[in-house]
Amino acid sequence: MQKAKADAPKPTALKGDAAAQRIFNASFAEKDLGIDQADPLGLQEGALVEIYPLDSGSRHHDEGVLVGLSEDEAVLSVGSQGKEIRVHFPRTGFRIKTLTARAESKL
Amino acid sequence: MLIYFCDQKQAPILPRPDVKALGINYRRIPLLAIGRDVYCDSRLILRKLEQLFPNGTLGASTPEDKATQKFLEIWAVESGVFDRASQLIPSSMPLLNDPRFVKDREDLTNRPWSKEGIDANRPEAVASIRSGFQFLESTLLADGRDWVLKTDRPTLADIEGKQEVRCRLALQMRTNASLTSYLDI
Repeated sequence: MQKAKADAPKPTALKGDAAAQRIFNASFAEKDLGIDQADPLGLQEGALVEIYPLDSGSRHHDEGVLVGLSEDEAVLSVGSQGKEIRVHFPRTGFRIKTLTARAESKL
Repeated sequence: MLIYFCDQKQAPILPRPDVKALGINYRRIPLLAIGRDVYCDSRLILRKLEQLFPNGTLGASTPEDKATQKFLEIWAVESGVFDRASQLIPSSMPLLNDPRFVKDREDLTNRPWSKEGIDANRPEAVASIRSGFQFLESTLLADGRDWVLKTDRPTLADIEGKQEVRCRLALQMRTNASLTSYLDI
């Protein structure tokens, strides 16, 4: 274990907005996941949704455009500073809600 | 296989402006970014590393071992063992005197973090963790093996099974020392 740790590459420490800028200027690492048509929520690509964990930190919701959904993960396209990133969440243990449905339920 | 990477340390409590800059409200850390794809939740992060770097996997290969690995993940997180482990923190911990820390953890967990509340809850949490240790020690670890899947080095199953058991607790488990003595430290 100690040898493995000693042999492992040491991470370069980033500060300030360095990480965000690197991410914004990178290309997407993954191909489109597609939308699982058998998913019980019946969501379509491009749906405006919010997603949040159910066990902890559940007051913090992310909103974005659904670009991927499988048994294993949900992927949102999220915009910040004029750039798009894709944020991946586990499919289980998280709640996905369509934002239009939420607006209607308030009426 | 070596994976070269950068890291950016995050504050123990909110705010975390580096995460905010990405437009992400999700508050738990760590996050993993590969290119412009960002991954939330350690379970998904581990799965992705396994999938995207297939030459350096730590995961099990047989269906039985894969099942053990997955069951341990579910046991540790979804069954609440991780949560119970987090409830073991001593109420004498100096951080609990900082109202910003208390407020932050209340926001994270949706439960009160008063010292009285932590003390009152502790017996339930200890009982839960003792039961968890007893389960592991009487089954997977009963034959004195070093690692969960009887390998000569740690695999993903060890990470899944023990991520809730903070380092010192893990040491105590492997030396069979009493859990109570750890908790009294």
